[in-house]
Amino acid sequence: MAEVQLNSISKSYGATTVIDDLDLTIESKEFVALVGPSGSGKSTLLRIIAGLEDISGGTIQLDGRDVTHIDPSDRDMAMVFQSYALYPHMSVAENMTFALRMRKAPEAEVQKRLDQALDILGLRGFEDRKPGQLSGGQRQRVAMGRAIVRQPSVFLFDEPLSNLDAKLRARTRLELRELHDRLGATSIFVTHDQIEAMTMADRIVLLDGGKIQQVGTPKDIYRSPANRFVAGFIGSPEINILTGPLTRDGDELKLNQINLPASKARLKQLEAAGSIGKDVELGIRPEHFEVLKSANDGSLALTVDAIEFTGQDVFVVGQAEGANITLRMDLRRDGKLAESLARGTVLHLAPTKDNWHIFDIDSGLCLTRG
Amino acid sequence: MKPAANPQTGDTTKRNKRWVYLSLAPVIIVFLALSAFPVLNLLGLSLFKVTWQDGSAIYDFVGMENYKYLFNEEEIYWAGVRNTLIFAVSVVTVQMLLGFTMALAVMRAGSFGRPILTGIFLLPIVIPPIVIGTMWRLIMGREFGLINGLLSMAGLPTVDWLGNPDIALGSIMLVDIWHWTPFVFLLMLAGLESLDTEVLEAARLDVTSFWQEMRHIVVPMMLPTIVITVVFRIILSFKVFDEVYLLTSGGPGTSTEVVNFSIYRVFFSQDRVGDGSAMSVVTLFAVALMIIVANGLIQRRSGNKGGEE
Amino acid sequence: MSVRRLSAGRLFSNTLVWGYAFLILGPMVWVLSNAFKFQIDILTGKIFAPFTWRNFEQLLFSRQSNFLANLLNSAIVATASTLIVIVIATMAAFTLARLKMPDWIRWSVLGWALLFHMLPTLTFVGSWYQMFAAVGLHGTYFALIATHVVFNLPMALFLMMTFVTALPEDLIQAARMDGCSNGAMFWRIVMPLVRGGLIATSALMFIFSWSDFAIALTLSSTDTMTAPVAIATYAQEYEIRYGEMAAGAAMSMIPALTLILVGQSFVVRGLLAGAVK
Repeated sequence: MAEVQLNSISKSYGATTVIDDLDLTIESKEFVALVGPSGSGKSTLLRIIAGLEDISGGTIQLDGRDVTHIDPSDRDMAMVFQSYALYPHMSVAENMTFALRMRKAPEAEVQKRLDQALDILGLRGFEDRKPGQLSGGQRQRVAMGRAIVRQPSVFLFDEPLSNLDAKLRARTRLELRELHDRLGATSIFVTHDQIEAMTMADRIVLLDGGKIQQVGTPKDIYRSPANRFVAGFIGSPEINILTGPLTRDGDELKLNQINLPASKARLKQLEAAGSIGKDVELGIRPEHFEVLKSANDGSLALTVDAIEFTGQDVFVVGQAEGANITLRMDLRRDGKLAESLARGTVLHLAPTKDNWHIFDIDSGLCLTRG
Repeated sequence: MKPAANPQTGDTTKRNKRWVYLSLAPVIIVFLALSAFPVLNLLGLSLFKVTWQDGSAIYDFVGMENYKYLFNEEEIYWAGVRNTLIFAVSVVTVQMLLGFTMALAVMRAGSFGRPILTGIFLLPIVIPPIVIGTMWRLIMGREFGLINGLLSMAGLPTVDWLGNPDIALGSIMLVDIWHWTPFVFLLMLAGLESLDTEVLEAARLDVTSFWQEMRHIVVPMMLPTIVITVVFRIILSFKVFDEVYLLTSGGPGTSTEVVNFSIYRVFFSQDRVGDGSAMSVVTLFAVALMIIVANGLIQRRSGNKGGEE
Repeated sequence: MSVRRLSAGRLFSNTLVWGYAFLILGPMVWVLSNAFKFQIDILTGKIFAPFTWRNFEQLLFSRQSNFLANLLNSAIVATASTLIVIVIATMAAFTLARLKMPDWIRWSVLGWALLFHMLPTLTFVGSWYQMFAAVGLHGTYFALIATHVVFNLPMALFLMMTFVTALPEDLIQAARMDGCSNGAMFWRIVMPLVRGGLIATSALMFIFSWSDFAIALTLSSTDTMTAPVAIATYAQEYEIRYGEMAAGAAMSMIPALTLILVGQSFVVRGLLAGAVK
């Protein structure tokens, strides 16, 4: 229904650049998550799309129409705020219909849409309450209702779930995604929580320092991160990083003494990048180790410091090669072994084939991206 | 569900701009017409000698004559300036000391009946100054005043509080101190109560005496509030008029003459419009200069402080 | 902080502040009591004297006195000037505090307001007198109301700005997204939400206008004379009418007293906010 196109957007306050020459196209009906650490510019970017922030350069297009200089109220976008920003002096119904009344929509239409939204959000019976008389979860629903009622072409969400408790957040996540599919509008969702981004979004836009680090589907971003920052930011527990010279002996690839099983294609790729013989960073996700019965030539010896039991998985934290390493063990597979672990136990780990990434030490770019 | 088109599109930006200017217009017009224009008007009038004939004014251009007269011969005005300075510095000093001491005492030890106390302390601030003048006129009256009544009851000699040139200014200052100390107290108390209590508690473990605590902790932390209060109380005490008008009318002689009263006297009692305007202009610019300098100093102070931390 | 013993410090602080409170209340009560005494008892300095309403009757209903009209004048001027100043100040405060506009306009308005607020009123009254006399408006309600508006404008502006600034930014942005132009936002969102501040500021503005002496003294005529000016004239008559003076003082204290009894916390908030600029 609405495609949002950002062309070389930049934004600076005096000498500080918040958004730096950013291009991004968000497809119609897409659910896009803007993710990044605090200060990455993700909220600013959302407010720029909304029109609440002026930009220093670039243009914004909505369905091919230039809206760069159009007032927020004329952009046909609705926003759900982190603080909900409900009008404290209006009832739930008044809050939800305010935008329609401001646009002088016919009374019957207003009532119809209000009824629909109340049903969708399960707010029936609360119409006449003031925001102050609602629970946090209900307020969050009213904030969403306020956006839904407008049937805008673009929904903007600014960390709308961060004030909910963990349980409610998980449920609302699902409902929100469901709602998006049902309404068929374009949704842009800002969050610092990667789980939210991974579970809800069609595509993730990862920002850092006002620049896009990677755009891709959640799977894409998790499996083949574009750079060291993306690899570190996405994934919990964090990806393990080891530094050392990369050496090749025939088909055998090693970092320090660790054997890295690699396909022919990968070897070729690394050779082409000229990274053999140079110091690089190796990234391996906690679940991509194999636990060996005993040490072998290229294995990694992990001295266990702590064991974190989370139910299905066990996270084993320890030291190897002078770095902190986290290992994820599946209880169904390695249940027995996991039971026997204690502080000081030494485990021998081997990376699995192609389940690792090599990053350039200077640029941080991933050299093993396919 | 089909989206309804927005009936109004695109013109919000224009309407928003219009609102900005429309909403500011009344304030700007009022300021220009009734505060900026009067200054220009005074500047103009100060160059004329105005005389009255059969109820209509005759304007004679005299150039800087009025200013020459003001700086060389207008004794009332300079007596007023002297008294105003003495008045401002003395009353503000006493008000600060008294107000700060009371605020400190209440902050450290508490007091009972805080809401009632606050109500009582607000009284002098909100009742009309002319009522305060009336009150003290009745209290300090020579023959029938309350104080002299009490003194003679105790067999002591009575004092002519407002009629004796040596003590009249002191009496006026006493009234002003009575009037404004509560305000300083409330401000200081609010300031003290907004200080970080954890810092104060931590400091209390480090100092060995009350005076150390005052000198090294409380006063430095309160300094911004104290400086602003002192500066603005001094500038505002240049506004004193109502009480002087009612209590002594500048007398006896020029013993309680203050700048504002001189202006009033020359402008309205003596009908010397040109001289009064020159006086107003000089006062206006002197006070404005003081405000700008004080403001600059305060801004720079807070700016420097921000830089250090 | 649970149990505070009656320590030396507490004794000292209570003696000090309640001593001062007595110094405030004592004279006031004494003066008020004079309003209910006969002139002869006041002159002879009787502290306990027969009670009478005579001073009030004289003041309000006697032929020689216009005090009722003076009170009415005060009320008219204070009400009208408060209404005007509060509306224009609140509109401007919202714009100055929350909206995009050229910085030089913002700072000239605020800078001039600060400066004008501190300049002695007396330096302006001469000019006002001349201006209003020149256009034949001297002594009218219009002259008094207009000057009271400008006199109270800086304070109203600063106070309303603190209240408008306290509104959450998200709320303003949400309203913008919901389709509010600046004007709609002001009337539908800002005004309802600063109601408390609006009442506090109005109350203070009313009190200040009601209390004004210097402007009313020079700009009012016999017909528009306000209560403070009337009280001052009693003191200057050949035979000072102490009882009526006290009664007049007592009546002109009524708005202030009401305010303290009804909205003390409002006043404190407003006064302190205004004092620190």
